[in-house]
Amino acid sequence: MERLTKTYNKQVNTLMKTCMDLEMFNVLSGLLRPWLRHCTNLAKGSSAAAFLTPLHAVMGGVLQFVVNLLNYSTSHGRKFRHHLSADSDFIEEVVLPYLVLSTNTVHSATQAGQLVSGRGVYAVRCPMQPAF
Amino acid sequence: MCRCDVAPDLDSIRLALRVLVVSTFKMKTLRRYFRENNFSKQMLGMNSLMADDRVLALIIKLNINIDFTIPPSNTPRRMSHVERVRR
Repeated sequence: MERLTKTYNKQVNTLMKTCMDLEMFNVLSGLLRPWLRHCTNLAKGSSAAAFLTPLHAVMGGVLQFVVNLLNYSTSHGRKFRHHLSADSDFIEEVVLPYLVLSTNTVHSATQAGQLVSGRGVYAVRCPMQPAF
Repeated sequence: MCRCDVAPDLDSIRLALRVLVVSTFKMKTLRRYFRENNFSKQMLGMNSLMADDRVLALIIKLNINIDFTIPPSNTPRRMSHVERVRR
């Protein structure tokens, strides 16, 4: 198991370095930026849930990839974080606009009375309330 | 990785916040943006997001990275290795 974990970490390190060398996050931000801008413009007008579903799926995958790279690598961590925040415009052009768009969508959905989370607000805020 | 009891957009928000927390740790590049746009205050105002304790934890971590790791401006600058060797 240890040997497998070491091999896995080594492969993740290689993947991380390759992503940095190929400037993959610049390419990704170039692809995602127009889509995000389009969705932001659409979200201003009508209900956003229908056309945001594919965007959530894609962004969820990309962000999970970044988190996995950071979680399972054993080296290049600082270099990769610097690459994300300074060398590429991924954070500024993709992650931050997406976060703003998602929070606005969640906020408007909550105001419209839709269920956002499986857990109720009251259940999380007041876990010790008696069940009556 | 994906928790099935949470709507996908809330999951994505949590992932995006995790990426931001990681990328602001000991990095000065994004702090200015967060300070100028009052981003965390906007998020703290949303009850639907604050209902999730994990989102709240991530916002606290983000604020720690942004606000509490920079010394005040009157603190003397730490000397570089070259300066220390010269002394």
